[in-house]
Amino acid sequence: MLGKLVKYDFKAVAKIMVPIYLVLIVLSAVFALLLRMRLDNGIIFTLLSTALSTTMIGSGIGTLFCIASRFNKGLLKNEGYLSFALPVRTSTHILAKLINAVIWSVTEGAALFVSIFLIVVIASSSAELVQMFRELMDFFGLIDKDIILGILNALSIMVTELIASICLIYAGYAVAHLFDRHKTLIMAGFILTVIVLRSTIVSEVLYNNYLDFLDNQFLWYLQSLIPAALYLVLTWYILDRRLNLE
Amino acid sequence: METMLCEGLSKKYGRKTALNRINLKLEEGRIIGLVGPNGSGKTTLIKLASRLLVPTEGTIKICGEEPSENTKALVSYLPDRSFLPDWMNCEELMEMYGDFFTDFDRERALGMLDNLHIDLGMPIKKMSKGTVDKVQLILTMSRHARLYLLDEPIAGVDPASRDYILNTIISNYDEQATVLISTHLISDVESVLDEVIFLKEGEIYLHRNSDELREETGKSIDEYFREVFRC
Repeated sequence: MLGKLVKYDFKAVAKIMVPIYLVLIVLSAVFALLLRMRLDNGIIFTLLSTALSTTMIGSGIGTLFCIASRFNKGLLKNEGYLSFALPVRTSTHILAKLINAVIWSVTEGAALFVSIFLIVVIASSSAELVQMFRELMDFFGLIDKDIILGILNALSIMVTELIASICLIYAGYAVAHLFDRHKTLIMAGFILTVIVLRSTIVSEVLYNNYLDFLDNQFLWYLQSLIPAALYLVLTWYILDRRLNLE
Repeated sequence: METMLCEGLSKKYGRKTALNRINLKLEEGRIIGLVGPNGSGKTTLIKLASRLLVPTEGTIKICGEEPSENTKALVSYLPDRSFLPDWMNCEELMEMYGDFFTDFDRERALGMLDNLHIDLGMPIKKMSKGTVDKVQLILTMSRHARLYLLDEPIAGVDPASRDYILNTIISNYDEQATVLISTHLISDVESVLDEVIFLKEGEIYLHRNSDELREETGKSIDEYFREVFRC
């Protein structure tokens, strides 16, 4: 059932985000072509630059909005009547939303990477590309196993932090669901309070007591994954035991 | 075996009691009307049976099991509002129902959608409210469920559509299944009801065979309801 839930959530987001990513890539390619042809002044170039930067920012905001909306609309609004009538556990619903959120966050990152890559490749001349390639090869030649491991570690920490942030948004929606009014305010208040509490605990408990905190990979994971687990348990409890759809 | 059994079932929202220690047994093969004024606990009872709510006290069992993902596979639930994802069309919705409900009968759904000339490719958000209501009912009644929970299926629908909806219900439920219909519009549905339950302030005022109630009171169920719940 998990795979089926992810499939339908994925489709729901794809209907909105795929066209935005396509626009982003097309705008990037046209922008790079204008740069290459030295047509980088004039009203068209200015308009295109604005459109491109707006689409870049908009795609990020759009992805975040879709992730939050799939949880809120799919489970806590009218669609929740269908979701919770499906023969699926509450925990499976939450896990499906989380998997979908991670997939689309990574896709957003990939779309931005492709956009920048296109601008660099199309806008540069052949000689510049060859030079860039040589410099990159020289740079990679300097990279040893430790640096690669460090990059992989940083990436995995970013992913765990991303998961913790998504879980916090879910918990915020779940807590706000317990109230009849001022839901947005309650959600924002809850998220801000948790962020402040978490930062305080991390700095006071971990940073002050474990001098090697910054170098300790395990503690980095722990300070993301323990809060994420707490947010998930809270979300599950509210959705499974205190659900009351309007 | 009873399709639904409630024993001492209560549900409170904070200090407000929506259902107060009700005992109820619904047998299979019956169409049962659940009637009562606003706030009498009809929707709460249906939500408890669908496990959209958890009881405060007492138990509710569907085919012998407490509500869970197992019983959701046996219950076909029609809420009192639009609940379908508005970005989907009928084709996608039928695929989704088929994916999640093993008892979904695609041919039955297609037949009913075809009778109403509903465009399978049109997204829900582009349909009129009446058409959405019909699509929801068709999907709900296209399952071979053990218990159909229909919350206000004819509220807000024009009289011609009410007949279609009632005919759809009568002609599509399996003989061993139970249909529980919550409604205010008693006169429209009373001809199809085998039993009727009056809910009053969270308690069961009566649960009787429809024909017996009409014989005893010398009134239609609608008339008797108006007498009992007169303001």
